Amino acid sequence: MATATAADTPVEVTPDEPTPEVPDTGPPQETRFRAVLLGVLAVVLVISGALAVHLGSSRQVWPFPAAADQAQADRETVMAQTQQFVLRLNTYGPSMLDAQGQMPEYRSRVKAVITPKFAVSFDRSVAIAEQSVKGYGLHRTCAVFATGVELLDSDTAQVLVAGSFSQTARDRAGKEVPTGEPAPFRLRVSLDKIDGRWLVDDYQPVTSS
Amino acid sequence: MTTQTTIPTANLYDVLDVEPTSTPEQIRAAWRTAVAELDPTDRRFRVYNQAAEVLLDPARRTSYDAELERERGRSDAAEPRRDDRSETGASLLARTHRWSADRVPGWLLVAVAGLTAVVLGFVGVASAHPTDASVRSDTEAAQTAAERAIVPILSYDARALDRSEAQATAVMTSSEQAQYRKLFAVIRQNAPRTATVVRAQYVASGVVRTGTDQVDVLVFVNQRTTNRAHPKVPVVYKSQVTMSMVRVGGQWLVDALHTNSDGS
Repeated sequence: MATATAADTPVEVTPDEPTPEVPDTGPPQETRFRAVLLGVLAVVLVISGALAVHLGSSRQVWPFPAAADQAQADRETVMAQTQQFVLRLNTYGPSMLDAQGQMPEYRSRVKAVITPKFAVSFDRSVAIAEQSVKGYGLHRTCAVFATGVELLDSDTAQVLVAGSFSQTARDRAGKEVPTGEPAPFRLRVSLDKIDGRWLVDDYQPVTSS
Repeated sequence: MTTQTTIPTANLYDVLDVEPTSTPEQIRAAWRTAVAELDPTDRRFRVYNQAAEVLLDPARRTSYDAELERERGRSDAAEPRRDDRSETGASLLARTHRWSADRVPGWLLVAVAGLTAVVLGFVGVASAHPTDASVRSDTEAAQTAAERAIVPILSYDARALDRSEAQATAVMTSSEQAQYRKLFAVIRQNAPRTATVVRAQYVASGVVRTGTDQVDVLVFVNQRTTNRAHPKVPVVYKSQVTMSMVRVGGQWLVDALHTNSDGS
């Protein structure tokens, strides 16, 4: 046990005093090895980190946003919106008529998926459909067979859609009868992205290349 | 008390932070300062005492200085060995202070090594991932292959059925070839009798979905058909086909055709 005094000479330390355990930090060779190892690991980490960021961002590996997945998601969105447009455009009948002989629900359902510019021409043509419904009891239904994206960029798209519509009308006895065989169609639908929403801006039948 | 005068591997003057030319008074003052705040049980207390005992004893200091001088004459690069049982408390203190400051903790090495392994693993996964550009390029290649393939697949000539079949099967996978040959067996039976010639014309195409090695493409096709009933003016059938394209040996081939009107 050591005894500390205020004397000017160093105190004696008895031989049997337990020497405090000194942490063994190892020889300098090991210390140097550890330092070198840390340096090597740090260099490898920095290089591999930079490589990971580059590869991750360019190849869209999680957690980086996947551009390829996003492209497919956009594709699915424009195809779904096109399908909605075609179904809404070709689904109407007498049950939608109001007292003024118009189909306000039909108009609003179609306008919900088209651009304001296209809505102008739609308003002009919808009167023909309303007159057919009012005059002949025309009832149209539609089926979509397939869709595919012909063009797609950040704010415009062209989608091909194939399907058919069927119609019935009232005969002289007031009975609903088919007006003919289901009519197949192939359309090229143009869409614009407005305020984050894909809206149909136009469509054309596809007959030949 | 062990006050060894064996060759220390660390400088006792450094322990007390004095110059080798310091007077005993200066050494004593330095020792007093060093131990002033220490508890007697502190191991540094003992080490400072050992250093002071040597340096405050003229004979031992002279001997120590001589040993120190000889030691300096030896290799400067000589390092104390880990199992050196003769090192003094002073050298122990100096070594402890120096190494504890310089030495890299094991946990840090493990942590950095682990992090590096994780990042390298991510690099390996990312390297195997297709790039956005390659996905775009593959999609375009598959779409172009589909546009070309649909023409021989939906065409045939009753006068050259073997050639028609060969041209069609050349753009198909083996599984689709088997399906096609079943259908073509029926055509072989009927086409000579009806003298049917079908010429498919590609109209338009769109991508339905993309994957690493599969791309589905919707193709619009017009089939101009002549036969005994319509020998001069062809009947045009407007069709749509969804084609599953797969990459086989670097080539995009037709693996399935969906031509039903309900899209299945």
